[in-house]
Amino acid sequence: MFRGFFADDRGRRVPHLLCDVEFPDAPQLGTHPVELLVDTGADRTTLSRGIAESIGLDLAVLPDGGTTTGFGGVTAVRMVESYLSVEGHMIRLWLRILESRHPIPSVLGRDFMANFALFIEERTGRVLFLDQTDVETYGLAALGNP
Amino acid sequence: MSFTRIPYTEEQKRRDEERLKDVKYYNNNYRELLAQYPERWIGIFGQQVVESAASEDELIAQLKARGFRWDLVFRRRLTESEEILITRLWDPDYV
Repeated sequence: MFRGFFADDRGRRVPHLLCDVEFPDAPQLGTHPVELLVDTGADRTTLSRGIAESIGLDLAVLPDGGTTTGFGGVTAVRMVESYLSVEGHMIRLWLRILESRHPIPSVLGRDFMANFALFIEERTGRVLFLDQTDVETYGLAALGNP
Repeated sequence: MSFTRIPYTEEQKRRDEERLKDVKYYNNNYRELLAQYPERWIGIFGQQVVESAASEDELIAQLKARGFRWDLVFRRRLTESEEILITRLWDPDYV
């Protein structure tokens, strides 16, 4: 199990996860902690352009990642193979990077979450990511599906 | 796709604990910080505001110029505006 956290944002409490990100095809960029908004509506984990460029990624040389569609419209994205790690758990995924400079946050999508059971409780400020062992330990498997 | 277990070093633990202290400092002092830095991005490190700027890009540039590891600094925009954030990112190829 590992934990995220809530941070105040415009008077609201928003769940986040701090991950280390590194790029197997660009090891010279090193490892960087990035803060991601936990967004269960996002299909893909996505970095804002500003953060990607601050890390040192050059969007011009990254492969086309198609588009993402949100309430702000359709936005072109690039993609980069990445390792995301949190407290001893590492996931390899294609991280999307928005080409737009619109100031939206970097988000943790369901491509990452799909590997865990997610527990978010704003009332107590808990953001928990549980692996299969945790699910069995806490008896969550017995809750079942309809 | 699934996760792989890797070492979680003492150094990483200390770093993450320090980061959470900065998040708590921010949450506990949110109203005061908002009054002090309205419509600004702030950077918190060591439970204190170390830099502020008009945009996150500018804040990161200033942190780099001052020798901070910008990615270890907790960064937030302080605003009174009632923006509602909906970031639904739909990928047509996602299955």
